[in-house]
Amino acid sequence: MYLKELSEIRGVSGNEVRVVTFLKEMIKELPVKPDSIKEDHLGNLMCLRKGKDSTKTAVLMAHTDEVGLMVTRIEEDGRLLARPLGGVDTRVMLGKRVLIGDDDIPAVISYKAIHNQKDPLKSPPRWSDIKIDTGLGDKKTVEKRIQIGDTISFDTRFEEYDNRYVGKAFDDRAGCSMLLRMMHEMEETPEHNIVFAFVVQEETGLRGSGMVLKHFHPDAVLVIEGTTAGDNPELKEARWSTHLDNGPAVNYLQGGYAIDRRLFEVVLQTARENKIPFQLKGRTVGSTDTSRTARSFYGAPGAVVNVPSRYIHSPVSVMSKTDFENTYKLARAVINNKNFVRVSYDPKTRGA
Amino acid sequence: MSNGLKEMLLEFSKSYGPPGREEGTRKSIAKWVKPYCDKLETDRSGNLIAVKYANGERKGSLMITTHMDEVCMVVSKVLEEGYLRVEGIGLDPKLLPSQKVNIHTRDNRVLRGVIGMLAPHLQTKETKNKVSDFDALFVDCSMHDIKNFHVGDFITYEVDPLIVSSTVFTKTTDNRASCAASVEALRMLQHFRHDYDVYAVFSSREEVGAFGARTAASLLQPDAAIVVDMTFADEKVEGYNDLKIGDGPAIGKGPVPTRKVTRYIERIAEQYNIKTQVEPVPGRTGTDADQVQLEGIPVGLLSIPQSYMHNPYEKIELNDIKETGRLIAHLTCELKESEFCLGSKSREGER
Repeated sequence: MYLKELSEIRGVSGNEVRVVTFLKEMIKELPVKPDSIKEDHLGNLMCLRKGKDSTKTAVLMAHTDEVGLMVTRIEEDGRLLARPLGGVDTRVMLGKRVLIGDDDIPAVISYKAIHNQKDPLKSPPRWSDIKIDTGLGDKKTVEKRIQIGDTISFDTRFEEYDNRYVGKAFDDRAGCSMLLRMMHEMEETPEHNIVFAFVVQEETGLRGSGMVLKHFHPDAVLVIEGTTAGDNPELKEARWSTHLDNGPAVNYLQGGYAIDRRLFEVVLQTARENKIPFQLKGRTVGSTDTSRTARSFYGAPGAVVNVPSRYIHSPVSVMSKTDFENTYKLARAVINNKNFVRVSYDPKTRGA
Repeated sequence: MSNGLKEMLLEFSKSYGPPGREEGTRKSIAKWVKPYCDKLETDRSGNLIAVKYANGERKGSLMITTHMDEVCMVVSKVLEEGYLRVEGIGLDPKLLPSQKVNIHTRDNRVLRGVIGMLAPHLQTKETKNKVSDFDALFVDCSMHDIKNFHVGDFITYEVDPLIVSSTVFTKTTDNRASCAASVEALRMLQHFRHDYDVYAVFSSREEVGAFGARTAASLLQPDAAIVVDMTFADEKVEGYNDLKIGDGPAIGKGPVPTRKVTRYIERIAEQYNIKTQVEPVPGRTGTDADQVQLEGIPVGLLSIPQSYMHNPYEKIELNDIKETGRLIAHLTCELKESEFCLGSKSREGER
């Protein structure tokens, strides 16, 4: 739901305001309103739907930020230099359009002509080689419109094909879109409390999500992420992270957190019971907000479901529509599963 | 009028015209040049030739050559899993990762492809420091049935032109900006007297060796030729003078451009207050001029200043195109038999 809008909105880490504003507008339109809506100083947006059993609380989480750049220098000739916010490779930046600052100044990331390079294939460009050209004129003119510290985001139009979405920021606007849809479709009172948490600054070190535990005291956290695929000719199949069209990917170990075994089993069992295809994430690289929520305040166990996405952290990524649907179905089934908030060491709940 | 120039440039830029397959660009240029010429034809090399006959006393002919083909990729292998392997023509592979591209299929459809690159999470120490060449690059076309794609399909950049007042960032301004300047010159010539026929040649296959210009020169045997192409501006080229966007066309100087023609261009530019720059070219010029010279025809070289050549977004200034057009028009009008000792009678004797 609203994936196109959410993908195209600008919201680089630390400047997620537009995403949150859009979400709040959409939340106003919901057929059943949340029982409470909270916003905190960091910019997190949390919506609580009270459950029949109000002693148990599950958090469903997606992050609102996306990777991008920040203006760090304006050269005499008016061109800008920038550094990444979050993990961005210089190699995906060349020859792209970007938008800068609150006024959405368009610009082009350029690179000197191949004819004038000594050894074009020798080494990747450094950030200091990458010039951003607004075409506005010299430093004086540019400084009237752009300031050092302005965020820069990719400028990519969302596209939809038979079984593919193409666009930017699927990590993690895909998750945001699913949360919004779930809120929209949740007409009945849920079994237990559900907090829909849209959190900031995942890409700069999981800096937003911990706060959700301060406001609520969840029994479990489920994160929906757009995750790496790597199922392209660059890697051997054995090194793929996920494969498009194979269904939602479930994490078992990731940077900074070994997924709670009990929740992991609940996720797999839920998928099997509902006949939702899934895959286990083939690589443990990367991290998600569960690494933060597990160690914030007194901690909450977490699990992760991902929609596989090729070429994330770049101006253009590719997702499968069926994966997207199945990830949504799995997340909805898990978050409503009573066992998800009643984890214990009772072997009966550990699944198959 | 300058609005018309912008529209023309954007249309040329968008048109499909890889080397040897310039049909899209040819059609687009033909549409714009038709009102300003007496005859329009396509020769067997694929050059589009717009002829405007002398409206004064006919003394000979002048050829204006601007190549219309573009840098591109071509499919070299189709992988069943939904990917294409590609080879490049004139492209910098560094500019390709994470680019949206257009794949031009055998049945004339234009389908989306995406050039992918591993997310940083999956990179290793070794792969981080590597630039992917055409052995490693691939096009993800999994949004369509793989049966749509064939070896030999051409691939071009998908861009969304950025226009900031009179500055334009878009694909293939090399060399469609020069094509626009040539059309602009013919447009101006409607109002001037000129004693030389003008052959505006929109040449084929420059990016693979300028064969189009060679065959056109051979076919037309003009008394002189002006080649218009692009040059590097606002970009430091070690050991060379600085050229600037907005400072007008650069006049090429070196062994390929004929000295008499170069001097003539300089004189006319000064006479009509057209700001020009100088581009020293010691050796081959890498333009159509190299081939025109080999045909034994006096040739002059004009270059429109441009930044980021062969990038998906090349930067140019509309006024530079307009001034180049104006210069070409005046060069045509002022041309006299005595200029390079040319004209059909004197030419043999001179040689």
